[in-house]
Amino acid sequence: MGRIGAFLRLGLTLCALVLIATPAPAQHGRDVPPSAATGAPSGANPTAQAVTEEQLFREMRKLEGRVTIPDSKAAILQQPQGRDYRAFHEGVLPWIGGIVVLGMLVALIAFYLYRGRITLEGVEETGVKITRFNAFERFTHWMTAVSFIVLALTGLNYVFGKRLLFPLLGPDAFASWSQWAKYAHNAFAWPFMIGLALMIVMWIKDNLPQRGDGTWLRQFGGFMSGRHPPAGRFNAGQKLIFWAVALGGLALAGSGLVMLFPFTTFDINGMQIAQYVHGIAGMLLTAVIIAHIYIGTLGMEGAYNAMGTGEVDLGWAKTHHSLWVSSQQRRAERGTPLGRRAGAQMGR
Amino acid sequence: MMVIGIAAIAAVLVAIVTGFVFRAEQRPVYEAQPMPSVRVGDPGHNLVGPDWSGLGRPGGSEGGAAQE
Repeated sequence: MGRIGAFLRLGLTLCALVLIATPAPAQHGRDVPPSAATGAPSGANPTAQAVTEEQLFREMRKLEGRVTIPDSKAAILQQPQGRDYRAFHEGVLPWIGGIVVLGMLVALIAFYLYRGRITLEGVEETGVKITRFNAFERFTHWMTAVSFIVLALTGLNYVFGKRLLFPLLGPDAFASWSQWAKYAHNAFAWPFMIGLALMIVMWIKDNLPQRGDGTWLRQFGGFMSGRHPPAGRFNAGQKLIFWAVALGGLALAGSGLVMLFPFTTFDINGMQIAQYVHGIAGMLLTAVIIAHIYIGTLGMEGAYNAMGTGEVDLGWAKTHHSLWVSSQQRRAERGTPLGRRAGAQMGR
Repeated sequence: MMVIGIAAIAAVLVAIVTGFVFRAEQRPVYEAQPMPSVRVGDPGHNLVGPDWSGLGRPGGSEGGAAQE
């Protein structure tokens, strides 16, 4: 037992000397894997149970630090609403825009290839011109239209510019273009809002739902059959365009005013909600206006004249807006001239 | 066609005029929601408080925030 005890004491002494002589890796600032340090790999990641960013976001409303400067907002590192907004702006909105805008273009091309241009075939040209829109109505329409085209192009740049134009223009040209586009977007918002208000006041009466609108929609305006159902001054399709512009435009104007005067009425979350509304309404209205431009120019022969010169042929009007022509004829019987032939006023 | 041209000119004029008129009322985001702590080129007064004179005293108003 005495010999065994001597061996044990010797062994313990040697172990103690080895432990004392071995430098501790951590104290020398070297990162050594736990398995190498202990010599016994456990296979477990020692940081696996550490809190993750996802857990923090689930448990806390914000990731917030502590600052010693007066601006306490600087302590907020991230908040869920901000991350949701970023995901919307960088992910959802481009998809919405791509689907509705490109989808509308594809649908119109498909319709054009299938149906072709809606011509004046079957319309008896009378040579009598009647006023469809007076000068002020056309002025308001075109002022709003010019503004909207500027707003749509510069607005699409916010979403698609860095994806589509940046690779083509390069950083300097794209930065300059985007800066001026932003100025134009802010400035042309005002003539758009003025024009929108005027259009709503001028045309809301003629765009209220009427008997016959359902029939017009069910027959798709006769675009496929060639037999145009009766319609008032505006048919059901035009009424849908009007209400899309009115409601969409009001949504754009309201959310746009919030952004034109940032943080005047809302905090950061309110500003983000305004941009949700503005982005979605802008994309949807852009798609609607593309359809409006198509049907007013390439899609239907004679439609442009209504807003271009303000006058349409009586035969075209009877075909597409028979109820409106009837009401105009009743007015003519009371003394208001209905149309003119070759520069002469015609009271018929 | 003339109405279209007049309307386009009017849109530009209204945009320019309202742009100038409302410029006095509008404030950019970095002014309306100032966070100058992250503006490296223009750190502003947020680091030391608005009334800091360089002679801040512990517990006093001058530069109090910076000395917390």
